[in-house]
Amino acid sequence: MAEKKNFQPPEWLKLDNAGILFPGQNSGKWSNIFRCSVELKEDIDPDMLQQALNNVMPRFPGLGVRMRHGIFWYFLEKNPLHAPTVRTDIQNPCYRVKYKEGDRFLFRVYYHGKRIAVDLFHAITDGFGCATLTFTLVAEYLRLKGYEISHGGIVKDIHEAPPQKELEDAFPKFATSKGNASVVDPRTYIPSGTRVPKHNVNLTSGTMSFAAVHKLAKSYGVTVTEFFTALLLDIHCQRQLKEGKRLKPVAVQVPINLRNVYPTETLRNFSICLKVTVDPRLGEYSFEELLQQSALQLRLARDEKKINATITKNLHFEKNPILRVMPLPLKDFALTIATALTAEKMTSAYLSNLGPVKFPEEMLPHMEKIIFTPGPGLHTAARCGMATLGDNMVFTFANILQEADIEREFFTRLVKMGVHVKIESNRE
Amino acid sequence: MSYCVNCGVELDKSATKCVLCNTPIHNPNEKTDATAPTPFAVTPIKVDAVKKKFVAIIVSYIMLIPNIVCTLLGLFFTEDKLWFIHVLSASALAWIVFVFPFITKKPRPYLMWAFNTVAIALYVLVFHAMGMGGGEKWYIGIALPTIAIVSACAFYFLYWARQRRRHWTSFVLHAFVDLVICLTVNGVCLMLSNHIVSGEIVFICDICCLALVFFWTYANKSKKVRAWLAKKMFI
Repeated sequence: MAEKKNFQPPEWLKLDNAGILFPGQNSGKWSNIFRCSVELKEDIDPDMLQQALNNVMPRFPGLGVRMRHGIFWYFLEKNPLHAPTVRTDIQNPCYRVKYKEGDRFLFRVYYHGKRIAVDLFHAITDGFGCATLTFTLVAEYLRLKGYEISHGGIVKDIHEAPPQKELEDAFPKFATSKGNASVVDPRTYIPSGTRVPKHNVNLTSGTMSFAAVHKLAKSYGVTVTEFFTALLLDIHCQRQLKEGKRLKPVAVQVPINLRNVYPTETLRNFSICLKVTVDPRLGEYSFEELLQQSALQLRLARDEKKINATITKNLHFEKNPILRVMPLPLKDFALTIATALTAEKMTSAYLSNLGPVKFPEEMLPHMEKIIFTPGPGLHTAARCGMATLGDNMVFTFANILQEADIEREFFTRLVKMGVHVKIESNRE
Repeated sequence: MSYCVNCGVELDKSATKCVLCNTPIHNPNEKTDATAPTPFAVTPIKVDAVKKKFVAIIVSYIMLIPNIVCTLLGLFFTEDKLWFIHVLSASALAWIVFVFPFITKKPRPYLMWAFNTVAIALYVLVFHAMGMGGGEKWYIGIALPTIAIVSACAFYFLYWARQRRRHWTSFVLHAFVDLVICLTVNGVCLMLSNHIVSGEIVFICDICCLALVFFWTYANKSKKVRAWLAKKMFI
């Protein structure tokens, strides 16, 4: 017990099993950076935000790091600087991180009007980790503003020493399957259009009532995630039929938080992607059939044994003796080729739901909404994130195409179903 | 609050048009507030490009090491004093083709190809100057015209490909047309230089390519064949 209390964060960390892929894939077109923003009810004071960030940073040793090259693998090293500088927000968020640029932190904190935004590189943590940092930062900011805010849920106690269990790589701990999860995914339909320049992404968010969407999804007997997955499948299937090209399967990738499956408190990556696939070559699917497919496939894929087999298979890459002794530049080169040949070609769309976020009740009156934004895709136009705060649900598209057809179809379909949607965008 | 008449969604106070369908907003009861804060930031950040030049310089230094070693070995430790020239010329060619493009600030494909053509011609000249390949006139009679015509075809192909997006069958057709031209010129040069057997082999290949040109011309024009090819040659 005494040993645990005296735990000192290590000077360097290995990347976790999900994170090892991201540094090699990092490019101007595919940054693997995502954003979690919280909109408050009053304008942000940048000095106070900087102070809050300085106070919060010692609590997150796994995030206050910089990327270093080893001979065989990338690794994370404690950043000698205390905290990144908060900046005014930019029109092109989620642009690529460069390991030797600026303060070398792998996340950035922005403010704009009433909004605090954290852009974070996926190599260090996933959506849950990013939300934990964002909410702890917002809670500390509100405390500095003079409000009484306690800690609890994903808001960490910043006076507490960071526990070792938050820094663990949970994948090898729970990957115990003896089964084989090898599945060859087919190449899927990818919407075509005019790509925006490198380092840019078009964000469009629709704010709607969670109660209205929940009621709508419930009327079909599915959850909100299953409902939106089916809607994305339907839009892509219809679009493909209109294009009149050779039909390909349509797949929507849905990441899930494995902390809900395995008992761990890690703040590093611990999520995997499930996939819902339909094949329009078999015939035209109605929306009701797509809802059924979405619900069935997502519920079946949540089987713990299947998940365990998948994470065990993913660990093989890291444990392969040939790959381990391969020098890092060779690994990077191989990954660049693999990315060019296969990356995102088995996915038509991506939908990430931040899920229910638990935080102290005192924070709720000061917050308006949460916006969760996945980073720009390499090929996928519809990369969507959704987050809910009270009754405010925000569904955001990060689109690499100049055309807004998919977003338009998505939100107008919701309007036609009786859901009120308010649109905001960084498009000019 | 304003709504888009096309999409039915509520729009932000600062919006002048619907971001989904670009329909302008005309709401006499509530005019667009240009001073209202925008929901997203409007100033983009300019991201620096990756410094490829640095990588090119490192690679150049690495390439220099075997060249220095081979030159020293050739000059002082081996009987055949000129073998290292082959190493130097091959390295120089590799540097111009693969490393030099990363040193230039902007991609200049035509200039790069011109450099490549000159480098290849000089590389072959080294072989000729060292008395390899048999005969004396093969460089001017065969090598130079072949390099010139291949280079000219490549220039035109580059120019044609950069004009607009085309179907992949057009690229295959164009590549075969270029190949036919190159093989014809090469065959004629070989015949004129009294390399009859080699010339005949080149002409046979030329005729095969010509047949393929006819096939791809037909494939390029017929939608049905293009669809069949797309199905059969799906990668």
